[in-house]
Amino acid sequence: MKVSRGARVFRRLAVTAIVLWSLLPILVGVVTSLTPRADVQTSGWLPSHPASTAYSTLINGTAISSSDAGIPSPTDTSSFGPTMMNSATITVLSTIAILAVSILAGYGFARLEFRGSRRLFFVILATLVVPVFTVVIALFRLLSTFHLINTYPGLILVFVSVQAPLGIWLFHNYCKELPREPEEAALIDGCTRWQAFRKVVLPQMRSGIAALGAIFMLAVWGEFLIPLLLASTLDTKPVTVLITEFVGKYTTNYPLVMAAGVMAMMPPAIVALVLNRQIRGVLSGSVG
Amino acid sequence: MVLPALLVSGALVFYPLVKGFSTSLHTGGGGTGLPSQYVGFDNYSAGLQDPTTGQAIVHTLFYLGIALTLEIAAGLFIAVSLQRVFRGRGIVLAILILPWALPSVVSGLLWRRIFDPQNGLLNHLLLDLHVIHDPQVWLAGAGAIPFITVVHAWGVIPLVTLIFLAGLQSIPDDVYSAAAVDGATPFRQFRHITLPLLLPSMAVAATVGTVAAINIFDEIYVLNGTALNTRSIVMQVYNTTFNQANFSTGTALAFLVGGATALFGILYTVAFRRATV
Amino acid sequence: MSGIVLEGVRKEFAGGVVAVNDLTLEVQEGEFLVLVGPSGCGKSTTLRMVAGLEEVSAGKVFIGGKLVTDEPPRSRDIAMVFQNYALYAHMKVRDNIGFGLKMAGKPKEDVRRRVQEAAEILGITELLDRKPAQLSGGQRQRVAMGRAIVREPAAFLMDEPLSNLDAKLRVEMRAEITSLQRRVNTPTLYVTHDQIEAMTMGDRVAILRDGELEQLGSPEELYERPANTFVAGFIGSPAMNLLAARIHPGAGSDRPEVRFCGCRVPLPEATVDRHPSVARDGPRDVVVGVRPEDTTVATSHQADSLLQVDVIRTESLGSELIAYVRPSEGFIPLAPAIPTVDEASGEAEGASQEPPSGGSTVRQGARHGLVVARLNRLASLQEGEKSSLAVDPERLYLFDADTGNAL
Repeated sequence: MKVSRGARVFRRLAVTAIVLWSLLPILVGVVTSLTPRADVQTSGWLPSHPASTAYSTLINGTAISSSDAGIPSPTDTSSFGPTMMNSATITVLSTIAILAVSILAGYGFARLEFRGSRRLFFVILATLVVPVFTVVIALFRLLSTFHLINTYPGLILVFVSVQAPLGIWLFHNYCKELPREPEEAALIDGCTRWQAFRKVVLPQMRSGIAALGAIFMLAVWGEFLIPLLLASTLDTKPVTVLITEFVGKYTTNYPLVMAAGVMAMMPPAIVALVLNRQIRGVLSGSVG
Repeated sequence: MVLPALLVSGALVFYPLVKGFSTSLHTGGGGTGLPSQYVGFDNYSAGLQDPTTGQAIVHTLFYLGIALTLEIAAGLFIAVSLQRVFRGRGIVLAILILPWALPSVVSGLLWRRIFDPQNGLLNHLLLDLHVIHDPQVWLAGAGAIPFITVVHAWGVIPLVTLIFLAGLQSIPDDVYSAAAVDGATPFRQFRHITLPLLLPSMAVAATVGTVAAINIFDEIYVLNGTALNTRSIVMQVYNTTFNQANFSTGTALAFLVGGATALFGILYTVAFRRATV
Repeated sequence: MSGIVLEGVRKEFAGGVVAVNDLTLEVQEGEFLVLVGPSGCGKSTTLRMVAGLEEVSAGKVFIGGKLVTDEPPRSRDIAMVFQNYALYAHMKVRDNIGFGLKMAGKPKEDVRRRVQEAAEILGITELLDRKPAQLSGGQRQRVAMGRAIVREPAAFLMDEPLSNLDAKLRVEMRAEITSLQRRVNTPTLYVTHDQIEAMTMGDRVAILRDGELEQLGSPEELYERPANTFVAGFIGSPAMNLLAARIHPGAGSDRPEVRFCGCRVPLPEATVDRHPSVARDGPRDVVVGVRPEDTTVATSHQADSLLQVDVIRTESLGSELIAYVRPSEGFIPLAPAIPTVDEASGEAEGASQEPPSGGSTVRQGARHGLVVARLNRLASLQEGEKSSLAVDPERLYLFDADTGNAL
């Protein structure tokens, strides 16, 4: 198919605009984080003396010496590390849990047929429509009764509950597409259902698991409202909550806040770049 | 083996909803120290009668309208631009996803640097270009909503774009050739062939966008807190429930939002099924 | 000068690949010209250049007397039928057919009437309010044809429209397309890889190979006087047997003869008249072509002019007997002139697609190292035995051993 010269020029311009639009805020954040505090208001686009003090402050948990108001106290900056760890732990554990539930349930609905399976599936799908917030509000009471507020297990339970319906649906679709024959061959060859599942089906699903795992990781890492309510102590607080606290307290200390933001966005950015093909597949395949 | 998974998800979702609904029909209880009393739908009406709730609803509708328009227009534009394979397309697509992959609080934070009155880059740029004379406070007053919507849309557009890309790819090349032979200019091809065949994708995009817009919270919190001029409905629920410690009313409002979302979802499905069959 | 004219048309892709090289041909007023050749020969590219869907690297294209080389498709007054029909899935049949007229801005009443007429001609009036997804393959094909004829263009272009239909439907549609074309009398350029379609449908046939025009002529001309071994092997089903041979000009009173596989066949007067070099020059190597249908089982077994063979396999079709035989001596199977399918691996050697005959893949003599004979159904031939075949001397084709061109 011919692509006219005009179209090619248009596309080049469009692509440039698209890339700029996608990256601009990120670049802004990175640049600001490397700008010395005093220069922020005047420096414009690029700092003349880039400095990584903000990063070292956060990583080391020290205070920045300055005569302005809004100096982050050592306790605040030193909490950055722990909250990153929280985020990481929670994300990994939650993702595993969500995947486990989604894979098992999704496979179950796709392959097994038992009484009421259709109805149950429909109910689970229906919960997708309910906004996350409603569920969380309802869960708050429940969790406090069991003393699960501000604990890892409580938080993880909530995340699973929020993401599982979507995960089950996606996995169910995915399993439907997989060929039955290898599984049936394994069953004939003497495997139990569980063995067949472990040895034949799971390997088949590798790419799907990677893709959905990436999506769940991104979702959990970025969670804010739920941890805001359910994880406010330092040993459970994820970095997303800490960032808003920084913003609230140190509104004028841009480099610090931006550095926090940049570091908080590194893990999801890396996941998104490395697994971007799988992610794209899920986002356009199962929804489109 | 499947049963435990199902039971877990069932319990975690279903039970809280039921319990929560009953909470919304009572006052007191829980941590308030007051005895729990059944009040029927009083909480619901109280929540609705609060004038701030009405404003929050209006704001949310604005968010919804502006966001959907931006998302679909931009999503379509980007998808059409990236439709054909070209060198570096993979990288562009990878970059495209980033805004969606970031936590929305971080997005809000990054855009804050752009919108900030004193230190913001937008003011900086406009002042340099002499478009304005004083730094503007973009996020105060009535005009704040579009700006927050831009931040929100920034994160949703990648998803919408991918939906449209998938839709575009499902149209065979030959159909465009046939239209060209039949006398259609590229513009008319877009209007008569591409757009109609993209209707199903638009339905999906609209649904996704609507759910996202109704739930808007993180970005607002980071950019403007619970300030009334930008309060969304979820923010209202949060405010009522936790800042004002009015748990029962908050829960009631949460269920109202839930019901409305469900309604939207059903409306869209019905409307577009009718349009595409 | 109406119809379709290509002058020196050339298509070169980035990287130096030449898909079509200096092609000149003309589809005359009312003519049905078939462009045929193996996969990759450049026929679809040529068609797309005529349509304006592919840029021309060099040369000129005229349609209906107008120079259109640089015009976009919509200005060329053409209609095209695609292999996959390319129907507009979201529109009803009637809107599919009428789309071109709508683009041209014709009044609604006009469009409605012409769509109705076209539908009547094609017998699809009851389908007008359905959508393509609800139609069968054959019905969709008719809608695609309707979309083409309703515009009454200066030329029709067809890109393998029958390839996606099952065999029986294909035979039916072949007849329908040709009668339709005769009715509207529009010059038509038709592309296919199936030589049977070419032979049965075309007023004239152009055979392409690797971007070059091998021969252009009526089906009879291509059959009776193939220009080279490629054309000879491409046309006809089962394909012509091509064998290495040697011509001996007769000394004195002896007739010139051609010798191959241990037999000596004298060349008749007519053949010598047609190829004077045969008698004049010294002995030379040639390729001799023997069509399977020009062989018979010999009644006597001794004459020099008979081909002695071992019968390897026979297939009885009821109406005739196909015999696969191996000459007893001096047989060197020639490399196939056309891409064939390797039976063992099932993959194509050279270019990739099914053999041109569209029928069983077995009938390529050289591929099996076997000669194919098409015999009377009562012929007495047994597998595993020896036999003698008589070839008709008047129906031998002679080609130069080096160039492959007809002598």
